[in-house]
Amino acid sequence: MALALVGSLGRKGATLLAVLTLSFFIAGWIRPSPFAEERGIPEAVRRAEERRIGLDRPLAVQWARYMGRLARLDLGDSWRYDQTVNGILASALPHSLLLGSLALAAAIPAALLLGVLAASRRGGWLDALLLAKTTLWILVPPFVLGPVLLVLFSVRLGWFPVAGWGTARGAVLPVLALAPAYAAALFRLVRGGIVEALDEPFSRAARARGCSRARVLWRHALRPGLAPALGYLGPAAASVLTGTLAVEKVFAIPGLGKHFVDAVLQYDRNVLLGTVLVYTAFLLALTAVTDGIAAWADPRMRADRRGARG
Amino acid sequence: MSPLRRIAPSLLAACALAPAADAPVPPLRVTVAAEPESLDPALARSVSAVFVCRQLFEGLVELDPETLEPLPASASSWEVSDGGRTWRFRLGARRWSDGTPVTSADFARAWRRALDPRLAAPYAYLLFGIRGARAAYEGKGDPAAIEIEAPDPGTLVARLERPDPSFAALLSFPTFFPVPKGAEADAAWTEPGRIVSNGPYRLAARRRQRDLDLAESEGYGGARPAIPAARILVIEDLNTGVMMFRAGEADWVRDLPASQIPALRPLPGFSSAPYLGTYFYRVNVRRKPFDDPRVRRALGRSIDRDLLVKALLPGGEAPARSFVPPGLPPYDPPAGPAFDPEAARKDLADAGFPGGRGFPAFSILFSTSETHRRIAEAISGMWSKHLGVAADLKPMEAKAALEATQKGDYDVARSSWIADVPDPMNFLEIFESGSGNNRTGWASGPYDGLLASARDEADPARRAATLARAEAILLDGGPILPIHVYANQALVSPRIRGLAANPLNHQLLKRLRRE
Repeated sequence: MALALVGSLGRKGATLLAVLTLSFFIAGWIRPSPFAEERGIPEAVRRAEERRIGLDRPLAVQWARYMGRLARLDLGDSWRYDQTVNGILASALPHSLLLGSLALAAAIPAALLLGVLAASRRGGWLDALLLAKTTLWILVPPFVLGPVLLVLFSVRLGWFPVAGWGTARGAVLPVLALAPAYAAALFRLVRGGIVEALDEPFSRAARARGCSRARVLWRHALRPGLAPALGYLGPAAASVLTGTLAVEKVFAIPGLGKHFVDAVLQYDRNVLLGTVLVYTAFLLALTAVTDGIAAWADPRMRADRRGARG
Repeated sequence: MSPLRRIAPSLLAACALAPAADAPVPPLRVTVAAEPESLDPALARSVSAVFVCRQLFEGLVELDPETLEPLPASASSWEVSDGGRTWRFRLGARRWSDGTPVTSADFARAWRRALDPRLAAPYAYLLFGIRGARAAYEGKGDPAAIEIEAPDPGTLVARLERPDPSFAALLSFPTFFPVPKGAEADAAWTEPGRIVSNGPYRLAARRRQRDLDLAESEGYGGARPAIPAARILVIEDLNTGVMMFRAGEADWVRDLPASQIPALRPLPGFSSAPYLGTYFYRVNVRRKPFDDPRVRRALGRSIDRDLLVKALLPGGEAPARSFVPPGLPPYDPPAGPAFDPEAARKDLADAGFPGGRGFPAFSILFSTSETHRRIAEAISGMWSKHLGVAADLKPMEAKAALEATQKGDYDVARSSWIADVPDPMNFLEIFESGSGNNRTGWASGPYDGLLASARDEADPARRAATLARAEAILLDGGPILPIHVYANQALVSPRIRGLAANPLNHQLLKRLRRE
C-alpha cells in the first residue's frame, strides 16, 4: 500500500515536472522580449535587463537555474510587478480557492439532488424541464451571466455590491454567476450516469428480487451512477479553484485567473510557470482524489483494476 | 434645590447645542484600470502607477491643473541663469511621512539613482538634459560627472547641456521625485508599513490587485488636502467601473469602455477632454515602395479622418491634423496633409503607380483589438477606393506586434504616442534619426538640425516656431500618418469639485474637495 502510494506520488511528480519543462521551453521558444514597450528603453539597458534575469543564457541553462530555484520552492520574481511569484500566488490563490469552493459548494448539492430527481422521473415533464434549463445554463457563460446579474441586482435593485468581494453579500453574485455552468454540467452527468446504472443488469436483478424503485435507485444505482460525474469533477474543480478569469475580472476579485492571462500577454514567464505549476498540481491531486472516490463508489472499477494488475 | 437640579437644565441645553463629534469624511473612491506595477517613482511606467506616485510623492514642481504651467511644489522658488543652463531650486519646508525633513540631497540622490542603468528606469531619458547624465547612463561617462549638486539641504542645482525652457515642466514627472534614504538598499521599500513618501498622502494599506488606501500625511508641510483619505480601486473591467459609479460605489471612474460612451454622455458627471496623445500609423521607409515620399503622401492624403472619427470613435476623439496634438501653447502645430483623394492619386501616379497598378499588396500591422481592427479596415477600404491599392490586416498579440515594429518587420504599423510632459519635443524627438523609438528607418538631416537648434533655443516662442518647422517636414511625406487625437473620458460624482480637464489628465487628489 505504502509502495503503491509512493509510486503514485512519484508518477504525479514526474508528470508535474514534465508539464513545467514543456511549458518552460514553449514559452522560451516563442517569446518576445518582456521589455518590448511602445516607449522603448535603450538597447544597452534592454540587454542589461535581459542579462539580469538570465535571458541571455541558453534556454537549457535557464531551465536548470529555474529548476534549482524550484527545489528551494523559490518561483522567482515577477518581471512585471514588484513582487515575487510566491507572493503573487500567496495573495491571489486564496481568493480563487474561496470563490471556487463556494461555487462548487453551491453546484454539487444542486446537481446531485436534481440529477437524482430527474433520473428517477426519466422521460417525465420534470426531467424534460430540468434538461432544458440546464442546457440553457451551459450555453450562458459566466462572463455573460455576471454582468447581467450586476445590472439587475446591484445597479437596478441595489441588493448586492458591484465589487464587494471580501464580504458575505459581495460573494453572492460571483458565486451565482459561476456555479450554474458547473451545476448544469454535473447534473447532466449525474442524471445520465444514474439512468445508465438503472438499466444495468444489477439494477434489473434487484428489481426482479422485489426491491422497490427507491431502493434500487439509492442502494444499487446511485454509487456506480456517480462515476462519470466524479470523472468530470476532478478537472473541473482544479479549473474553478485556480481562477476563473471572466468572473474574477467582472467582479473585481483579485484571484489567480487574471495573473495567468496577464502573464501570457506580458510575457511574465515566472508568473506564467507559477500558475501552470499550481493548476497542474491541483489537477493531479484532485483527479487522484476523485478517481479514488469513483473507485469506492463503483465496485466494478476496483475489480477492473485488480484484473488489470493480474 | 440641590446644586445638580439647579444646573441640570443648563447642562441639558449645552448637550443639545454642542456640535456633534465630527463625522469621519468618507474616503474618495477612485478607480484605476490596472494594478500599479511599482510605487517606486523611478520605476513607475503605467498610467495607474504614475497616478498613484503623484499622490504619494511630490516633486520640486507640479503642473497647474488647468494651464499645465509649472508651479512651486517642494521647491518654493527657482532661478535660471547661465543662459538657461543653470537651474537653482530653493526647497520649501517639507517632511517625509516618517517626520524627517526632505532635503536637496534626497532629490540629488534620486536623480542619480534614476540614471543608474542597472535600475532600468523607463523614463531615465527625461534626465538626459542634465550635463553628464546621458554619458553616465550609456556607460560612456563617470556618474560623478553628472552635474546635480546639493550645496546645502535647502538648495538643489542642476546644470543642463543646453538651455531648456521646458525643464521645469519635466520635473513634475515621477522620475524626478525624491526617494527616501535606504531605497537603494531595500528592494521592498515600497511595501505598506515600510514605504516613506513625501507627498500630501501616505500609503496606509495595500491589497494587491484590489485597492490602495491613501491617508493624509501629517508631516507633509504643504497645504492640507481637503479630502483626507482616498481609496484607489483597481478595476480592470471598465464596464464594472461604470456599474460601480452607477451604484454609488465609486466617486471617480477614470477609464470608460469606448462602446458605452454614447450611452454615458447624458449622465451627470460625464466628462470628455482632449488628451495629449496621437494615434498614428508608422510607414516602414526601408521597404519599397514606401521609401518614396510620394507614396507616403498619397497614403496620408487618402485617409478621410473626419469620416473615420465620426463613424468609429464616439468618445470625443478628434481627427489628427498633425503629429503633435493642439493644446501646448505657444506651440502651434502645422497643418498636415488634408484629405485630398485627387492629389493623392496624382502623387501615386508620379511615383509610378497610376491607379494603383503595380503597387504591391501590403499589410497593416496592429495589436489585437476591436478598435484597431475597425480603424484598419476603414483605412484599408479608403486606400482601395481612392488609390486602388490593396492593404490586408495583420493583427498580432501586443508584445509580438511591438517587437515586429522594433525589428522593422512590417509595412505599415499602428502606433500611438502619449506625452509624458507638456512639450512638443516629447513627440518630435522620437523621429530623430538616432532615436530608438523611430522604428521607421526615416532620417532627415534638416529635421534633426531643426530639433538640435530648438534644443539650443532659450526663448519659448522661437523654440516653438523651430519645432513647428521640423514637424512640417515630418508631415510632408514623412514616415507617419496621423489619424486621431486621443480623448480622455471619465465619470465624476457631481459632489466632487476641483478636477480640471487638462490634456495630460494630470490630476492631484490634494486639490479636490467634496461638497
